[in-house]
Amino acid sequence: MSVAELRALERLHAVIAWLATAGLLWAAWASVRRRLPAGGAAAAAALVVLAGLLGAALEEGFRARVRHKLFLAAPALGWLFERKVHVAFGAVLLGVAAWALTAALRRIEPRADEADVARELRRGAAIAWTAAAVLALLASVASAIVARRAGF
Amino acid sequence: MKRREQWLVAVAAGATAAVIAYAVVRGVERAFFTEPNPMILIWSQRSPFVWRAATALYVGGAAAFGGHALAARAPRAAARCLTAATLIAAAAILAMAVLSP
Repeated sequence: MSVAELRALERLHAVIAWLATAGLLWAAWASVRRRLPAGGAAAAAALVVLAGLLGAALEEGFRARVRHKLFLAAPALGWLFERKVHVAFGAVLLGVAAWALTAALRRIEPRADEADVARELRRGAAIAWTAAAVLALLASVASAIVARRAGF
Repeated sequence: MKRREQWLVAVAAGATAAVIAYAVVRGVERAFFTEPNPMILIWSQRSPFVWRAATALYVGGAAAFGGHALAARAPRAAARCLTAATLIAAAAILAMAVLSP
């Protein structure tokens, strides 16, 4: 991939990642208030998965062109980016888990005989959305800090 | 719990288990397989992140089948385990990112 392509992909990744963070924060809030529509949950999960895929596509370019220079220039920022990668992985997968729990809850909720299962799934979904949102926010802030100093 | 709901619970179980596996794999790497100093290492052919993520997703895939089996036999227990697993996953990945990046 050329440098121009990597820069374009980096910008797209940043935009999608911030949109995903906003989506997850909204989903967490709506889930706690029990007002999360199925479409909204799917959109938030799709955005965070897309952001993760774009980040994975940038990984080789980052390793080849940026990582070493970043560690030489500012080791603290290098380690911050390493932390960001771990946290982002957690955000993507917990976003997927939150969507799956919300989708299962939507189907189980109307059945009175499974009210206790629905209650537990609702709790799990709210925790998963909140955890994914917090992790995504941490990852986005860390990325923004590193991006001010280093890029393709 | 109907079949489609069981698969949704399986997806959630797999994703949550993958996050826990990622934190465990990273912890094992830091403890037993010391990486070269990133300030000295110019480039490596193998991406540690890709391998770590692939291992975690493989474990998550296996856990999804376990989650499906549990959801089919004991839906209440599956839902309760998932809530606990989500909390453990979030805490593990955060602790790992802070303590051993």
